[in-house]
Amino acid sequence: MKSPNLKYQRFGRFFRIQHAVLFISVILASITGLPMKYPDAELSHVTVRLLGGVEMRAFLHHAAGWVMVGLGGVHFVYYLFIERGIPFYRRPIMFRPQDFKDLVQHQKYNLGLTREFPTMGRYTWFEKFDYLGVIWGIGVMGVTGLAMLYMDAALSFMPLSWLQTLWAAHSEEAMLATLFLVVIHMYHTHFSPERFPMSLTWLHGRISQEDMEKYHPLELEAWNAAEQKSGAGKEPL
Amino acid sequence: MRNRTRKTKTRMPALFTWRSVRCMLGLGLALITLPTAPGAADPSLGAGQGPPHVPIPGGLRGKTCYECHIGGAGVVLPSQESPRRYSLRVAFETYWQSPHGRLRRLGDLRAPMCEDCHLTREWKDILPQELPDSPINPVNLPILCARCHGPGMLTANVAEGSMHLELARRKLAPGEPIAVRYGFLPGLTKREHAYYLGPFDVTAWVSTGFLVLTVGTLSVFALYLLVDLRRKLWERRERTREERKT
Repeated sequence: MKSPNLKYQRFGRFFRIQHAVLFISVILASITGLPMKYPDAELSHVTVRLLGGVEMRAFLHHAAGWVMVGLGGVHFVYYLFIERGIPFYRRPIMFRPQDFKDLVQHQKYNLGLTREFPTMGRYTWFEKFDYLGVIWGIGVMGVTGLAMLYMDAALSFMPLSWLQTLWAAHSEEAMLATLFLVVIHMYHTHFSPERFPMSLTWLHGRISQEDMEKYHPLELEAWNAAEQKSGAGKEPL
Repeated sequence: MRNRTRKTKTRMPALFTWRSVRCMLGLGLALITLPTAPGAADPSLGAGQGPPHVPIPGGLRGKTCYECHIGGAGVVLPSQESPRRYSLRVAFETYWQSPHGRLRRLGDLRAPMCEDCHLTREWKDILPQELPDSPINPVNLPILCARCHGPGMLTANVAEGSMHLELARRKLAPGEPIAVRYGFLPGLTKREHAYYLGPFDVTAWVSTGFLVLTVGTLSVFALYLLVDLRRKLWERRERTREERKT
């Protein structure tokens, strides 16, 4: 494997720590939660035994959930304080009509209908979709999970049938999130021919000149302009 | 002005060749026919299709539920008011899918089984829900739940829902009361009726909504992923070919 020229610092240290906490808690929550979805599977029983029994499974699942919810809170505060000059709807992570155009253009390019790859900015349409998925996922899993964990508090103002609805939502959303991560996120970061066997960006936060030119040309332009103006590279997030 | 044109040197071959279309048709056909293959059908248990009505002489004393009800096709006990009321097959299947049943299946011995909730305090009998001595009488339910879950359960809200929810076979169509549909008449409160009936069956709508979301998102992205993989493999091949030339 040739070593790519990793000259662009795309993600700062705090961003990478957030990602690490997120994936550790999500993986732990899936491993400890899936046995409840498939309680007859041999693998579920092996997992529960390896984790140290049913009580430990529940404890680890709740702990992972709490870490995830806590991370959601930390990220919310972080989001409030980064890029403070820009209004929320104009932040680079927000969806805009151009993303839909990029999506269509990307599909056309992949199908061989056009030779022009979409010109994208700091976040590509699929990265924005991933982010949206995480926000939605933490929201749904957090609300439904906490309601079930603190059943007494929840039942003090809602009937049992609501709690059962939340339980159904928790179970279904868990499946959606796990499948999305295993199939699509894994493809983008591991199995894509450009990344195989793994993109190390989650560790060092840097990406290559080639990737920058292909996926984030507008950001590259902005960085180069800032570099020319100030004589130094732009600070990463 | 932004530079929006970055052209590749050669044109990629078309996706829809005769060969690829044949492949896709075959795969589609396989996916469509798979659920209807022999052995894949699941016998549904709708209202009115329950097991035969078998009267049991004498009381229930000295017997556990499984001895009579679970081993065979399921037995319906006689009840003048509602014949399908004690369909234990439905009761057991819904218990099996509930959090209690799932924990039990995982080997959690703390999770309750039928008799833990349905036997009276003296461990003597199973009584119909509307009798005041029955532990699952809505008035007694909070005390029953609090035995394991603690004093936080001592609220009337505990009785506003059934532990025997049947998620897998719930229907979105309006009109049929849950008691008729699932063979229970668990003393539904007015509030509960609102959530369980017809278009207001929120749990069924939420489950189905998530199912549509999951299948939709994953199939659209899986399609994108396959096309993207094909494109990237082709690009890599082209690049190595060019490198070899130079």
